[in-house]
This record gives sequence, structure tokens and C-alpha cells, in this order.
Amino acid sequence: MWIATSVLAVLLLFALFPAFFAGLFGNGDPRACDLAHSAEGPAPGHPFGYDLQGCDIWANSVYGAQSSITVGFLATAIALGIALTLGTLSGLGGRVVDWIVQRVTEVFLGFPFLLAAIVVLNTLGARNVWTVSLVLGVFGWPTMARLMRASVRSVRHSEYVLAARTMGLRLPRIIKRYVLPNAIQPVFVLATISIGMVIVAESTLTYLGIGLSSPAISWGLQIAAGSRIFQTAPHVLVLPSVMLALTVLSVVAIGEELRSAFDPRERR
Amino acid sequence: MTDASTPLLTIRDLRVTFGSRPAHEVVHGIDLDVAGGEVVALVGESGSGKSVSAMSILRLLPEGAGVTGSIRLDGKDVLAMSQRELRSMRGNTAALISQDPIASLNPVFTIGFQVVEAVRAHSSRLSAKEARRRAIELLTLVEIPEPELRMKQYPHELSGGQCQRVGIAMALAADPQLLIADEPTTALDVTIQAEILDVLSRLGREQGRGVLLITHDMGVVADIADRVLVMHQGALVEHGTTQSIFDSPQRDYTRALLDAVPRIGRRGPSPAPVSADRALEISGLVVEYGGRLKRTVRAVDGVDVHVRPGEMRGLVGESGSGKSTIGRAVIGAAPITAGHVAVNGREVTSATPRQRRHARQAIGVVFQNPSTSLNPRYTVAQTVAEPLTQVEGLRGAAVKARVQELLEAVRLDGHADHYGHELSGGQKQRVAIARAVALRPTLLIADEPTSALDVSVQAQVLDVFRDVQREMGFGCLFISHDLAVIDELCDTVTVLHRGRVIEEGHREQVLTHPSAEYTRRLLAAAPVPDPSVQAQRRAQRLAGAA
Repeated sequence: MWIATSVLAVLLLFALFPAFFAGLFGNGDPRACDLAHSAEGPAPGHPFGYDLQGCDIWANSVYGAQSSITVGFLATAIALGIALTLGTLSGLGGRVVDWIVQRVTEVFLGFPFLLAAIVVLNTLGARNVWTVSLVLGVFGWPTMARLMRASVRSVRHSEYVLAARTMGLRLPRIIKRYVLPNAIQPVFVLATISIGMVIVAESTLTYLGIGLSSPAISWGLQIAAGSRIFQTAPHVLVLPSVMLALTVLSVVAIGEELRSAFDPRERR
Repeated sequence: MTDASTPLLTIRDLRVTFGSRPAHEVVHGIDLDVAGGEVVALVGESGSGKSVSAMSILRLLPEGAGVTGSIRLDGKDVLAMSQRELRSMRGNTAALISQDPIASLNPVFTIGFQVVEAVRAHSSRLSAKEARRRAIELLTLVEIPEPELRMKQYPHELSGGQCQRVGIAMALAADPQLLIADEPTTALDVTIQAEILDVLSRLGREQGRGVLLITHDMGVVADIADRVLVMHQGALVEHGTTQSIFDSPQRDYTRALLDAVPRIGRRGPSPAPVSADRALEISGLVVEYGGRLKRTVRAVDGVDVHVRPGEMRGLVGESGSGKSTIGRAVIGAAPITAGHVAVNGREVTSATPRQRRHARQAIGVVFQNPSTSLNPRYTVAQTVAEPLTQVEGLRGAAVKARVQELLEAVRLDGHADHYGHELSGGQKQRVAIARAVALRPTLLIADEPTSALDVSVQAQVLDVFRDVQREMGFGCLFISHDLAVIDELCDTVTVLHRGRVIEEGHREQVLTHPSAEYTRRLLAAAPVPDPSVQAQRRAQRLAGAA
């Protein structure tokens, strides 16, 4: 647990103060590139080597943390918000509301994600952290919403909710204290996993050339660039990939820990 | 009665542990014998280790369980068997009959398929035709009517009692000498229970099989067991013949267990409540489920019930009688197709949502399963305080004082900061009672509040219930399938069968001099913790059937 927390804390510090960490090895400017060193291996002051453009990989990865982590959390937050609202509405609402929400969810679920992302991102024109997060969030919620609906449904028919209704409690109170806290758990777990998936999705979009684009810096961009020259210069891919994997793993571990910490049944 | 020469099953110094570092011992060295042709009952409360002991005979304990001691089944050492030998022992020498008959059958295959499969699992040489014949033979043996027809049906088309018979037939497939029945009738109605026990007793006594019966129900023990072993906290407390245990129990624990069993007629006469007022008035109530594409099912069919202020009205019936549906209709959790329900003279059907919410505040509800009726994220104090702060609008110290008062009333002071999962079943149910009476309701609806609890715990909860009722004086609709519990607690009784009222009246009159045939049948089927009475009844029943 504390390993995951400290890894994530370090990565968050990267995101907050990139200049300090990037400069640790003396070459802190990710944009100070020298084509003469294109794709060269580690050198003094450049412990992880140079990428295709001759830029320092360490500095790039540290700066990349900012946009990648922002996209991960922001897109997941947007998706979670939509999913919780629609899932609860669908789970608690009447037959008509449920039907409408279900059909909307299915439309989004059936939509080819990449196609939608390509169309929307091309239309938006500006492709920065905010628009990419928005697109990933808006197309990423259907699975969570379905899970939320199923979860709310099972809790809704439980006896403690019936007991709350017979007490004469008001609906908002019942939703807030009885339904949501007991229904949210599985969705929460899915959301922590989805942070990782979103970061990967962002790099996929970037790889396809429709995500963030230079001069923005992100792990996705680095991985995309690195993968093109993987056979000649594999070291370009290593650092951003490791950082991405560490982020995903620590977020999942922390999510699991949070889940059990918030569950009174698992408290000792 | 014991066949002293070669008992079928001999257990010596059986110890079962769970976990490691430190291993937690749950069974502390028990000795047990079962001979062919006898029914041995292993009795105890939940957590006494009775099921664990029985499961260790089949070596079907969860991973991480350690078993020491000796278990000899039909002359072979079970603890020394290889996986292969174990597989052939299970079913061939000893077979298990489980507690939940419906859950233990696979819902997507027909009864015939499943019984045939059980037959062929042990004798693969049989042709399909022979296996089928054997399956029908087995179903006939457990007295299933029209076995040929049943073969083609699916589990959901059969009643619980029929499913349990199928379960027994499957256990008998390889003609085992030992049957282990783990609470075989707990999930069944009393009239069905009597029939299943008849089958078990015949398989044991007449056909020479040994039956190890695990149960917490003293009435069942008195009915069919030859010998009894009482377990408490993993140790054997007492053993002896059924007659001697019931007549002269030696240990305090056994005595307490027997005393806790509710019996009809133990309570003296009680005054009939007289009042013209009605806390609850139900007239001509009809509840229908289904509709549109499906066939409608009439769960309640024109029922009249009323509860006076301060009256304890028992609503008794078997599963499917509509008793719980009536309770649910009163709190608005079941659709009212026709008829009237009035609480304190106010109609609940024609009210606006706002009025309905107000009406609900006058009704307290206690549900059957305390584990699912408490919000798992609340502490005891929060649960009890919820109606006080949210509905009555109390704040601060006033809430604290009321909660303390209520918890004292249900004898739970000192548990205020515990979560539901930290409490026992009986304690949880007392929390539910405290919550239900927090708003000083004029009507309390209790839906089988003690049927998920052990007998000794049940007695305690009923005591609390009676005290709280006496103190607060609410009218109560007490729904139960257990006539003895109703007799201990209620003033008046309404007997339901298939959604209709069969009989209604004062407790003593209905339960001691019933006028309806159905009530008489119900009373005759309810097991009494007295072996001689049970033997007499069984003889009568069998004579009547022959």
C-alpha cells in the first residue's frame, strides 16, 4: 500500500513541479533538442538517452506526467460523474426513465469509440489536454453506468432500503445515505482501473495522430514516437512505458485499498 | 438400539481447525457412532460446530481446514484416503442431503437428467434405459407422486418439498449405507417437513441405513431420532437416547436448549383485548401479481384482518399463504388490487404521497432477516437515531438520550458504536426492533422476526419484543409460520391458507380448540419437543396413510 502511495505521490510531484525534477540530471528543458544526438543511448547528463528528435527522454517523461495524469483523472472524473447520475436515475427511476437511459447507454456503448473520437476531435480543432479528456470521458461512461444501474437495482430491493422507506424518510435522504454508499463500490473499483485505461487510450489516440500533438508533451506521444523506431532504438520506449505502467498499477492498488477502507465490514 | 458389534461410522477424538498461525480450533475432540438402522441427531446452535463435524466425515471442508483424530466409515479410515478413494466413498458409502433443496438442484436441467446422472456417476456400466428405470425406482422410493411425469420437469416447477425428495433420491442413487442430512427440513413448511421426516425415518429404520441428522430443531429430534448428541461451542455436551435426553437432561446447557423451545399451551390464559378502536383495519384485501403478458397470481384473496390498539395479532400460515404479502401491502410495498387498508382510521390507499409518508411514521416494521434489513454502513446508534433525526427532527443531546433509552429497552446498551456485522443475529434483530419503535408507532408489523434465529436466541428476542410492546402499547401484526411462537406472544390469531382466512379468533380458542380442519392439520404437523407425543402422532399418521 505505502509503495503504491509513494510511487503515485512522486508521479504527482512530477506533474506539479516538472521543472525541478526534469533538471535533476542537468538537462531540464524538454524542448532543448539537438538532432545530432537523434535516438542516441544514455550519455552523461542524459541517463535515459535521447529520442528521435534528439530531446532528453528523462525531461520529456517528467513533463509528460502532467498531461497524462491530468487526462487520466479528468476523463475518469467526467465519465464517473455521467455514469453515477445516469446509473442512479436508471436504477431508481420508473420504467420509462429506465428505458430511455438504457437505450442512450446502448447507443454510446455500440458506437465505435475510435471512430467517434476521430470525428469529434477533428471537428473540435483544438486538441489539448481538456478536449482530449472531454472526449475520452464522454465516450467512456457506458460500462460504468450499466454497472451502477445493476448495483443500484440490487440495493434498491434490499430490506434496509424498504426499512428506510417505511420509516417515512425522504427520497433524497434514502438515495444519499442508503442507496449510493452501498451501490457505489463496484463502480468505484472500475473507475480506478479506468484511469489507467484512459491514459493508455490517450496514447492510442496520439499514436493515431488525433490525440495531443506536438508541441504538447505526453507519455502517449513519447510512446507513439518511440514505437516507430522501436527496432533501432528500443530505449526510447522504455521510460515512458514504465512510468505509465507504474501509474496504472499504483492507482489500481490505491483504489482497492480505498474501497476496503470505506467498507465498515472490512474495518477491524 | 445400537448395533454394538460393528458400527457403520466411528468417530474418535475428532478435532477440526481453521487457519494457521495460530490455528483456530472449532471442534474440540468429539466421539460419535452411527450404526446401521439408527437415526442419530447432532444438535446445537449455529456456530456449535455440528455441520463442520458432519462435513469432515465426507472430507468436504473448505480449504485450510485441518482434521485430526480418527473417522472410520464402514471399516475404512477416511482421513487416510486418497482423493480417488474419497471420490468413490462419497455417494457410494455416505451421501449428503443438503439444507436448501431448491438451490442444490441445477436449474437448467430436468429432474430426470439429474437423477439419471447421479445414478450413472456411480455405476457407469448401466445402459441409458436401465439408469432411467433405476431413477424412477428411486423417485418412487422417496414417494414422489407420478415419478414419470416429474422426470420431465425442471426444478422450478416443483415445490420445495418435492425438490427435497429429489435431493434424497439423488443421495440414494448408489445405495449408500450412511445418509448425512444437514438441516434437511429447515427450509420447508411444517406439513411438508413431517412427510420428509417420515421418508428419512423409513430409509433409516426399515432399510437398515444409518442416518446422521444435523438440526437445531428439538421438535425434529423428538420426532425421528433414536439417539441425540448435543454440541455446544465445538464440544460434545451430552449424549444419550432421545427419551433420556428429553426426560432428564443432565447438563444445564441441554436443559436451557429444551426450555427455549416454544410449546403450544405453555402460556396460561390471557385476557382478550376489548376496544372498539382499530390500529389496523384490513377489509376485502386482494393483492395480485403479474399481469399484462403473464398470468396474474392472486396472492391475497379477500382478506379481513383487524388489530386493536395494544393487541398482538398473530398471522399464521405456510409459505404461499399470503401472510407476508398482507404485511407488505400495509406498508405500501405490495400492490393493492382491491379492498381497503386503514391505519388508525385513515385509509392508506387513497392518500397523497405526502400523507402516505406521514402514515408510515405511525407504522414500525421488523423484517425477517436482520442481516439484510440494517444499513451496513451505519453503526447501531446511527441506525436507531435515523428516524429520530430525519422524521421527528430531534437534534443533539435529545437524540442521544432517546437512542440510549431505546437501546436499554432492547438490552443493547454498550453496543452503540458497533456496526451490524459485529453483532450476532439476535442482537441485530433487537437493533431492528429499537429502530422500528423509535417513533412510538401505533402499529408494528413484524414479518417472521425470529425465524432466522436459533431457538435460544429466539426466546430472548421474543422476551424483548413482549417487554417493549407492554411498555409502549402498540398494536402489532405478528406474521409467523410457527404456531408455538404465536402462542407464546399473541392475543389473537388469524390462520391463512392460499390467500384466504381459514380461521380467526382468540389465541386459546384457535390453538387449542381449532374449528377448521386446516388449522387442526397445521397443529398436528408442528413438531413438539416430546418423543412420546411424536411417536404417537407418527403411528396415527402412518395408520391413516395405510
